[in-house]
Amino acid sequence: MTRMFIACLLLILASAQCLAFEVESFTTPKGIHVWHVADNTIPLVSMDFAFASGTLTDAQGKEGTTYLLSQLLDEGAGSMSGEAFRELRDDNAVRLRFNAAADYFTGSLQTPTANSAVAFNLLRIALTDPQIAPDALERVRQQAIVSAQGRSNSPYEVAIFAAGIIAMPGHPYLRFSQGDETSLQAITRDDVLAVRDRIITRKDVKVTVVGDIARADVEAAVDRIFGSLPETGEPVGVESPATISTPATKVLAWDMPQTFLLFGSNAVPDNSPDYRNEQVLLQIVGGENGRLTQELREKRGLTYGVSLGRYAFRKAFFSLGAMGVENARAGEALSVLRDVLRKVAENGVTQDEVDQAKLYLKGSFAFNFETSGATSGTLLTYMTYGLPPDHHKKRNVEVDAARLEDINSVAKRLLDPQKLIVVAIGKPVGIEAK
Amino acid sequence: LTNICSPLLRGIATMLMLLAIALPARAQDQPAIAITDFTLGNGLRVILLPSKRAPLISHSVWYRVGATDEFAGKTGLAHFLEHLMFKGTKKFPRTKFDSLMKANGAYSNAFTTNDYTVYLQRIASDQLALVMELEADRMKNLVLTEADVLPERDVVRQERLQRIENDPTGPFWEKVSAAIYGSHPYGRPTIGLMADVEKLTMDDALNFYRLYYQPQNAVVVIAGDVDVAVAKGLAEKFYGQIANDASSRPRAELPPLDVKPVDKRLELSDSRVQSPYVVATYLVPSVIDPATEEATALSFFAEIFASGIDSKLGQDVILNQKLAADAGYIFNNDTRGPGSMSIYVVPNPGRSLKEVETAFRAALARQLQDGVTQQDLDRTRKRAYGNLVYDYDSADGIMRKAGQRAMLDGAVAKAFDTRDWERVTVDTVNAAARKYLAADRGTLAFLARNAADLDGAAKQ
Repeated sequence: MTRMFIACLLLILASAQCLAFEVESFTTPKGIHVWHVADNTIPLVSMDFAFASGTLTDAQGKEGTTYLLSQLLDEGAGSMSGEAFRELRDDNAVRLRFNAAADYFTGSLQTPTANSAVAFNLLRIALTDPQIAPDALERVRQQAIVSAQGRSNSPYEVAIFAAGIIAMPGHPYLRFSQGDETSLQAITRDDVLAVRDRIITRKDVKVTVVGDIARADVEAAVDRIFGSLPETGEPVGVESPATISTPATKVLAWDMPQTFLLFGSNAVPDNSPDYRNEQVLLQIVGGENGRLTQELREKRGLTYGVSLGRYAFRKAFFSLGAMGVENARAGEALSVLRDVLRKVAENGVTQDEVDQAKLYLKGSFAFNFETSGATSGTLLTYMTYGLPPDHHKKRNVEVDAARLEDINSVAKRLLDPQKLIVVAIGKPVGIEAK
Repeated sequence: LTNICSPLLRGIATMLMLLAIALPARAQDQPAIAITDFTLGNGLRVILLPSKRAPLISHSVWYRVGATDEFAGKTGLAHFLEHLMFKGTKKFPRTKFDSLMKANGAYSNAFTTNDYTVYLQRIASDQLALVMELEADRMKNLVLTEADVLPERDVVRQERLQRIENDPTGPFWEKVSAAIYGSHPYGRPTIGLMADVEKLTMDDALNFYRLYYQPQNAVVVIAGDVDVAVAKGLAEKFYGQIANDASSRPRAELPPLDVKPVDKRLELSDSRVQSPYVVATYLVPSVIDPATEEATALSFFAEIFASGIDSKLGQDVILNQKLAADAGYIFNNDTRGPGSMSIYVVPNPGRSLKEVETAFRAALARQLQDGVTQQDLDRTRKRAYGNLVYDYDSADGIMRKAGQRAMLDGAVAKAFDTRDWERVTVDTVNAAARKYLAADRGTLAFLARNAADLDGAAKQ
């Protein structure tokens, strides 16, 4: 306790930033788990929520069903047409979005305090009584097909899928979460309704509310919105894929002047004791002005930007980086990249680098809480990770606890170029598929 | 980093944000923005916008220089210099600057537009002195070597390849700008032409730096958790001591447009296009145009006519005719010179660009003829007020709004003033729309995956 207090004090002295706000964690009368931060600086209320499963619930050949659901919830609910729903939403400056991720179906609501009753009611009917009208389904399907066609021409989307096929062959995480043209065409209204019944349930829903609203009002609103949802629903079980153990390089020939290089490898699980060690390591190697930027951009002018960060699902954990390099120098860039990773894996990083990365990670932490929406979104992430409601106060202490030798041992395991997967799209000179 | 041309923007939230940026804000019903505005002895202007949202500040230095101040053969120079400004000074070499930023967990970046160049930091509020010292130092003491400059020029080449050559929308929007603005500086790409960028030198950059990076040519804008008295003292201490070079000069006035807004058509097809669309672009008044109510009136018109599925255009081409997947608008009239406004429509699978164009033209002609109604206007105005609260949630947004206006005409308070909204009437909206969006004033541009999709779309 005392040690923690001193650490906290040192932290405050070091970074001059104290995230003083309190998160109140409670369960509503109807059993919904909520984190609440009261803050009346701005007359705004921000609510984020996550249901416990996402696009993994889509049936084989019907990929995109959950995504269509996410696009249909503002297309009419209760006795209100889609137009009437959106008119009320926009007239009241309410911002409401739904997002279908692989493991979670999430939503975000923001409203001026004065309009919160309207906002909460719109969200309630969208979740409990959406119309999923056939004409709206057709329209949203066409929009989704336009997006899917666009993704098939996006170097990033194509590269990440190609890398996924190598990293976790056959795994459900590989399925197109927003569907492709064929799967989108196959989806029926009953499919969408079935997904709604599986996902939009009270079981394990998590809610964060931040802003100009008192706890009693949060409880009442949350119970009205989520309290009458069915209790059923089981998260779809998914196994972790095997970790990457062999290197691979894939080249996709596209006619463009610059090669898009995507690269990645393993990362530690969310609950690993090495999580913070890895975070410091990735900051040193792939963060702003990190080693990759120094070697590839600053010294050699090979790319406009390069980064390496964490790319994780609930059950699969990767590091992922990308850069654009003109075709003629793509091979040179890849060998510099491998060299940087090899040197870090073999020789480790320095105490100075660790100290500086920690200062950065601690000092920049406050940006996660700069606005109401940022705060409720960040807290929802913590909640879904199973972190405690005072995590924002402990997190920088955890960062401080990362040690050089542990960081270097993580580097040895994770940055081994022998486990690197590379996808190059373009007409790269000096890169061969392996 | 640089603002080159707008990507295809989507979603009503984005549209509303655009509206909020294009239009100023009303004081009543909203948390007031207290603006402290003063000028130091050397001509450097300081604008403070305190708000207690988080223990953070957004600090920025805005220079009255951008791509429009370049000359023939040297396009891309303003942006190149922006990159080189990170190479350091004698007192704060690059590594020192970076480590000070990192040690404070700061966000540090910069961007270049046609009209101005901006350096910004977001940092803990007790580090104001640090960022002021760093910015004041590099306003005067930049040190460049060939060893820094040449790799950085390669970086900018890679940036251009990534943003323009590698993405068909890059050359597409460069063609649109060239068509709209002709030989006016707004017709050139902010990042520069590749042939020019490849030849920029250290001397080019240093000469440009000495001409324009002077206190009398800069505005410092700070928003967030800033104490006015403390900030005043620090501004005097760090920025107040810098003398203007005798050789420095204020920027030249923009030349007049030498093209008439006439009916033009252009097209681009590329198999790598992600989303084909038709976009109509019109010359419109800037927000600082003396006839500023026309700019405001056009903002309301765009919101009523072309802001997604529930706008008049969206109802027609998305909901009723089921021709399109999306429809929206992009304003680019927060400019010193003539602004532009684009309206785009994305066809559904299997529908042609030509069909979409025909429907768009018919919808616009009908809207111009029938006019918007009082109900349309009242609703749009009410929504704009309602959405203002989101602006006040972000110190960064407030800083940008103030700085941008400072660069355009200096009238910072107008960036937060919504009295224009009240003066706009159905008649002024309809008159402005009929004047600027007439069928013979638009440049229609077609972006397709293959030439067959164009099917003569761009031919009359």
